[in-house]
Amino acid sequence: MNIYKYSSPKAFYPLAGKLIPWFAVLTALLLGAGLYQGLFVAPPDYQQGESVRIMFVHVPAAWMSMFIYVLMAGAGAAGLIWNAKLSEIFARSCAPIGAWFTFLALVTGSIWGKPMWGTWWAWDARITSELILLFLYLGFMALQASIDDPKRAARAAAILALVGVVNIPIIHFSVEWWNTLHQPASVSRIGRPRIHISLLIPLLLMAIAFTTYFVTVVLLRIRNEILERERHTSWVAALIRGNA
Amino acid sequence: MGQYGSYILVAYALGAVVLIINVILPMRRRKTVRARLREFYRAQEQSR
Repeated sequence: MNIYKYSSPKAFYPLAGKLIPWFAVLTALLLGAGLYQGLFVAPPDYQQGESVRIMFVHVPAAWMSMFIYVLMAGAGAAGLIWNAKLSEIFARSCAPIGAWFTFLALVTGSIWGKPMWGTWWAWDARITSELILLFLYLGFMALQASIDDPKRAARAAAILALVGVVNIPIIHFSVEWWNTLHQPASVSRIGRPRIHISLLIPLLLMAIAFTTYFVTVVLLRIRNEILERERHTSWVAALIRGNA
Repeated sequence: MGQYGSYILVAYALGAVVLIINVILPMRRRKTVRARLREFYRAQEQSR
């Protein structure tokens, strides 16, 4: 099987259509298991009490916000280097999803912060750098929307995304580099995670569910982008006329 | 969920809203894109 043929939008479009239901079902199963574990099985934390359950949404959302940004910048770079149309489409499709996950991470962090820290917001290095990530996503989308030519828009946005990548290690290491209100890493440490297995299981289930969810919705967006970008091709014309 | 129940419910409800929005938006856009493309091809045929 030649996987390179799927770098063509024409070949990728039907493949995405076939993959979406599988990832949607997988997401539903994982999300169901994660929510059950997180809300009913996981015990309260010895310090945070029941509020630790907010972490099962907040932490995976924060991981996704960074993961999607790295994917988006990587796709942007691939678009710049190899002039690959599908990479540009992928980067463009990632941005709104990444922005929503960043928003979710910030707001759920704030909701957790009020009872635990006594404040909704602090200009702490981790929180501020995550807010900058949200602005980077919004800037990426605004830049793409402001340029009519999709090729030029993709190139300009890719450069912005690549410059913004510097923020990802800042977010990750901010809790080590500076004295922050935000607690240090407890899962992604080299060696043993500090978090107890009973809390780690729902956290990882939710993180995997968010990842498969991301694949599902990014494929939905990619299919729309392909139709728009390829509207001058005969295969899209045939597809649309066939369904008219 | 004790004294933190409202915080937990709001956080999970918000998570659900974000997940649902991100499914609904591309599905609605799909309909718009298809309708726009149908118009585009119709206009092309009429101009020939």
